Amino acid sequence: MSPIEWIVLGSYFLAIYLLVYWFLLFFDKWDVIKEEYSEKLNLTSYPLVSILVPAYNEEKTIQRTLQSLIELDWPKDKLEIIVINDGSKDKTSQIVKEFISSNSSNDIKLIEQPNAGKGAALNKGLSILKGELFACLDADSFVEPQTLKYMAHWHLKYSNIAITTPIMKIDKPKSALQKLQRIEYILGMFLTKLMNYIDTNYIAPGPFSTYKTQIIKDLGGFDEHNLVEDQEIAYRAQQHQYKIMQVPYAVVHTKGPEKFKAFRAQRNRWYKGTLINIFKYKHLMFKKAYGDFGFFQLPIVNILAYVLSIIALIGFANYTLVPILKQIHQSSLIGFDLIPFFKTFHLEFNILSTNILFTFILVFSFILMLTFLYLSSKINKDDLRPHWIYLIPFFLVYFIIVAYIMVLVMLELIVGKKQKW
Amino acid sequence: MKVHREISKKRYFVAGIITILLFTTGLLLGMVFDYGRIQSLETAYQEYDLNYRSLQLQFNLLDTLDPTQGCLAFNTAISVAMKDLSQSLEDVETYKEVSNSQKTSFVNIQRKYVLDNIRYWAIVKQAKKICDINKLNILYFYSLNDCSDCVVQGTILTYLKQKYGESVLIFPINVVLLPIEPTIEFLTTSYNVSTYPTIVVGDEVYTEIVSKENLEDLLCETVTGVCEE
Repeated sequence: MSPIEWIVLGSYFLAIYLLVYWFLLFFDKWDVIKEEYSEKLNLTSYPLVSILVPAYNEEKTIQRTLQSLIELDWPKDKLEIIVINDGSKDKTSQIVKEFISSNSSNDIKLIEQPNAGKGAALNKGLSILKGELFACLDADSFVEPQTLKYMAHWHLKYSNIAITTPIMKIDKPKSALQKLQRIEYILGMFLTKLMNYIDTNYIAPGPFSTYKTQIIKDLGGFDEHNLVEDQEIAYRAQQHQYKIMQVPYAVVHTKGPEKFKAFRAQRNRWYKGTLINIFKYKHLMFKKAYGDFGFFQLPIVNILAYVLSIIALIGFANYTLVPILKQIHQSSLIGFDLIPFFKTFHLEFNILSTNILFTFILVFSFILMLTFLYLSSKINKDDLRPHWIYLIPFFLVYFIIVAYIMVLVMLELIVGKKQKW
Repeated sequence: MKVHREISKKRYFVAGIITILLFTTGLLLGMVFDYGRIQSLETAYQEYDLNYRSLQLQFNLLDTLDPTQGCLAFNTAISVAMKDLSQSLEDVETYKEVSNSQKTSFVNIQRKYVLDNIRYWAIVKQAKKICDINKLNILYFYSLNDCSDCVVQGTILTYLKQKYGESVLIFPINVVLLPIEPTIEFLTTSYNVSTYPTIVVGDEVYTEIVSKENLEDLLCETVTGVCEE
């Protein structure tokens, strides 16, 4: 075998190991999952909840976001909504003002601040909010009416939960890219759920993660200089031994980037922020006090994703790009006269011509991923069938696009390129 | 109350064992497939060996029977035999490439097939003295190791074969086998071949890449009825 084949085989080994690990975890915790998903809501009292909506140029979605908040199944006198307009240059402020005046029975405040970033906006809200719990809702996300009840139920049940996270679904995917993100989110939500059981969640997603106010204040609020402040706060909660839980049925719909440029910008920020946070919290690695978070999530899962992205790109270049370029070059040698080739071409599959070790491993990982997708769509009631055809580009192309952005991020960090929001 | 954390050592260990078992299964399957590949090539080889004997006998009979009818039959037989042989030769190369074990067994099979190619080439060359073999036969020396020009020449020859079919007979000789197969050395010495790719058409030796156009010219000069349109 060539060195590249060895590297690719090694990466398969690691990837399969992770998949098998997640699968074992799923079987181990199946009873707990069932119990969680069948638990009845038991809210004897309703705590005051504040909802922070940081907004920057969100004129297209802010009204729907606020509408979803006032439709929450939660007593109005126990709900405080604070919109922090982070120096928007569009009509966000005007739309919010109009919304407030037409919904005066709801407690909605608008705070204006010069553009200072999402972290600063959240801290501004944190400094004035009155709720025992608070939630953040990105202004491009829409919450389902029952979601807050589910979030609060688990918060009140366990005092060591600092953050509850929602089940995110891509809202009304239209473009192919959004449909691919939808599949990614379905898979991602399943893995996040599994992370609950080994306490390794490391993200409190912007769309409607809910926090215990006092704990977050004790932790010092949000990091205003972090690219992914929702991830940083999760790392900090982990560092202080708090629990993060993804809550069953707590659904939030979020807009996925429609076009590649916006998608790349979003992922660039996420992946760069993830790397920066791994580095920031490297001291948690291999410390017994942090259990699986220190021994598994940080050094293996989080770092491995970047290593595998490099290998995926090498593999893609070696097994797809180079053969295509070779084929084009060879066609040029015969003046692109491909008629004889097509005249003699006959489709024939000879299983003996396949590298069975690679094929076996590939098929196995494919089946495991499909199983995860199936389980996730079942558990979270997210029907994958309308977009099943996108599974093909998801497995063949999407991972490569993501790997490409990850590698780009690493290169940018190496050369010290400044990050734009 | 803060989180009580654990390291799920047992799960890590079991996941490791399952992963190793999966890979071992893959490797074992690979071995089973290698056995299947070798068997399929050996079976095909036995058939080519029989074909060759048949062809050899037909060649011997050419002197004793009516040469016109005999040559016609010989022409057809050689085309059929060569078509299957070239496909199997490709299979040998592919199988060797995808095999994770048994590389040596494949080298031996490859050697058998190359010898078969040479036998066919020799018999066609001899038959040309008696019959009007209306085909362009090309002895093609190439290497799969670090020979980008061989890829170029190979592409052109494949194109020629696809375009003109039975009118072109290509006898590929992989010189990687040169150290272990004296017959290849005998041929390379006889034709003074030291660089690759080299093609031999008739008694002419071409040590540079022969373009598609030049090969088509050669074909038109040698084979009647293919370039008349």
